[in-house]
Amino acid sequence: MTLNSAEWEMIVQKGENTNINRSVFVRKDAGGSWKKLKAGHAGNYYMTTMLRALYALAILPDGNRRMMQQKIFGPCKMFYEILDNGDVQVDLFVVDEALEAPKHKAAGLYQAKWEKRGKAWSLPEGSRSEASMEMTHKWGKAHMAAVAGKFDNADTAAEKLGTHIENAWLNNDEINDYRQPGNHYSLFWMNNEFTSKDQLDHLISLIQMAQRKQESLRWLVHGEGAACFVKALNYLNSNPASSDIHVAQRGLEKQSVFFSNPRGKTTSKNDLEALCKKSGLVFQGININKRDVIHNPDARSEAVGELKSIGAKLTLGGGIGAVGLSGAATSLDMAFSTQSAIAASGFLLAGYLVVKESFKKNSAYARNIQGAFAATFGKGNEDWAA
Amino acid sequence: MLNRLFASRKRPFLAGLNKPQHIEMDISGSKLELDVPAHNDASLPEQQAPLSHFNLYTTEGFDPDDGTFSTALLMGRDLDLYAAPFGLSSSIGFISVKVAIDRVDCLPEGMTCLNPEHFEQVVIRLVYDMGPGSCSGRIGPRAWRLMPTDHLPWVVYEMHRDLTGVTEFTSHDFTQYSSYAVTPLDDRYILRIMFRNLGSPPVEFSRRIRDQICRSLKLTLSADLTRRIADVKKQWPNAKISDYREPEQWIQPKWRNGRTSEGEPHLVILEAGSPAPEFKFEDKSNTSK
Repeated sequence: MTLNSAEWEMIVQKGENTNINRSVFVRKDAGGSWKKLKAGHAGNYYMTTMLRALYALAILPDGNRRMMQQKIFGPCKMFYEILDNGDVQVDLFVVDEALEAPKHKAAGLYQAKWEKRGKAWSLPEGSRSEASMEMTHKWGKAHMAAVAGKFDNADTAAEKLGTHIENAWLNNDEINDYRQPGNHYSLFWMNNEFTSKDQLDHLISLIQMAQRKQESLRWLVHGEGAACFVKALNYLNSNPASSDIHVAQRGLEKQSVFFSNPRGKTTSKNDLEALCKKSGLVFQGININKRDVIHNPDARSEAVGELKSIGAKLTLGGGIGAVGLSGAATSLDMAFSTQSAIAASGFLLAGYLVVKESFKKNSAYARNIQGAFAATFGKGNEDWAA
Repeated sequence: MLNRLFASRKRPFLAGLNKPQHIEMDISGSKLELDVPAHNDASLPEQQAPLSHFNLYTTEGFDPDDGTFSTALLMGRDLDLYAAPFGLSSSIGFISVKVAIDRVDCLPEGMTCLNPEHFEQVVIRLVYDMGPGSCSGRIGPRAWRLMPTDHLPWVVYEMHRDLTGVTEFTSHDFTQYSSYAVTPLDDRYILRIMFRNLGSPPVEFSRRIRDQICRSLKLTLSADLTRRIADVKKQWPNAKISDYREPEQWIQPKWRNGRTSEGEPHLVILEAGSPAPEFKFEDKSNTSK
């Protein structure tokens, strides 16, 4: 069965990239909005997330045909059918930020704030994870962001990493300038799941967002978080946005990294410095806890008295496994740039977009996509206010 | 060493607990002494090395200047707790011990922290400021008690996460709380020792550490301050601080992070909480003549 082209519009076309093995169709009346979104998503986190969700359907593995199925991608919930010819038809596309709002401080991006009376960096109770960083909130010239290693919980990470940032990035006489109510840094908390693909994808998208916006960003990468950061940079290196390295890395020179007690494979000073150089980021410095002999290659090699530790010998490996690091389904950029081919049949997808009433007012998705979208799902459903 | 080897989540190991450092600070002529284990996070220096001298009557070190309280940090260190030998595991959390001075800018004319009744109101105002007033989601004072002292009252209390309306707890909701030991230091100044527990230190353990440090607290008052206390005592001979208090029943505000790039403030209040408690006092300055 194929779809009636008077009712359905193709947004993703099979073969537009070698990874895309299904065409994705949305309802005709939503087609224009999706096309606008596809053309103008660059630099907008919310639009990019939604488009990625749609592309996730274009690279689905084979599944049941002619049966309504559901896929959740970040805050997007999609109901779809795989048609006989393999195309995907999107019956309903829901943006529901509650999907991204865990009850406890699960993995995600948080704002750690300075608590003026407690004299500490902290996550206030009731903090919810944010979709993107407030890049225009700067400590001096750059936004400040920390990638947390292992801690008992996010609250512990928030307080400790604030001090790590002060030590890495501030002079003593500057510290009090930033210990101010209203000041915050972005805390990327992986909930100690350092090998999670979701976390890796999220981190990659944060680096890319800052790059696209040409914003200055200072990273404090801590502990086991370094291993994830290394994977993210390896991914960017093996999947450049352009074949011209200067174009691919444009904007990344505005991101600087300080590693604090890095742990994991290829996290010795030399490795990290080389990787930053290769990726186009500025290597700001490194602080190694000399007692961390089990987890840090440099501390270990110093302790053992070897020139090269086992960890340091595991070099960057020129993109080995980068494809495996991040599922193709979750990375739009990868879908556009990689050459590893999977051939399959086509698809369809019809797109409807529904925003829950309760999120209309405060939804960043609603505000960002308003105007680009005028989707309808018949009577009784919520649509974007025009 | 054996303590370290046999440490567990229930009985964590805290280096230097039995050999704490003796700290002395001169605060405008009054002397504060306390015994605190050394800072033990090897990856970070202590937040604030103990100041040997501090001048109350300078604006330096106090911030922010927003008309309520202004706070100066005299000491801040982390006591990291381990449930396994170092290097094999990260810490299970820590107890941050801080010494701070609050200048009470919101205290109305005619009131003094040296009057125990007024001091109690100041403490409650501070509890509000660190609870609903700053969207911290915490509530207090819990476990209010007075430490036995000769002169000025020392009050010890806790602040916990406000679990009103919360149906699912995590163990962190109980292990993560803060304790404070507070005493007046002049008409408009109070001294505050903070114990902030983060991560998973067992509650009995964190209370034991707090009580051990509180028992070592010693404040020797300056001659000026002693005279001033005597004056206040004459003016309000019967003023007393409560032996017992229940936690306040304030309503927490609802908030979200502001999108500052779009011109919003850093915190957007969605639903207001309880207003700040107001100071109440009888102006005795006329009647005491």
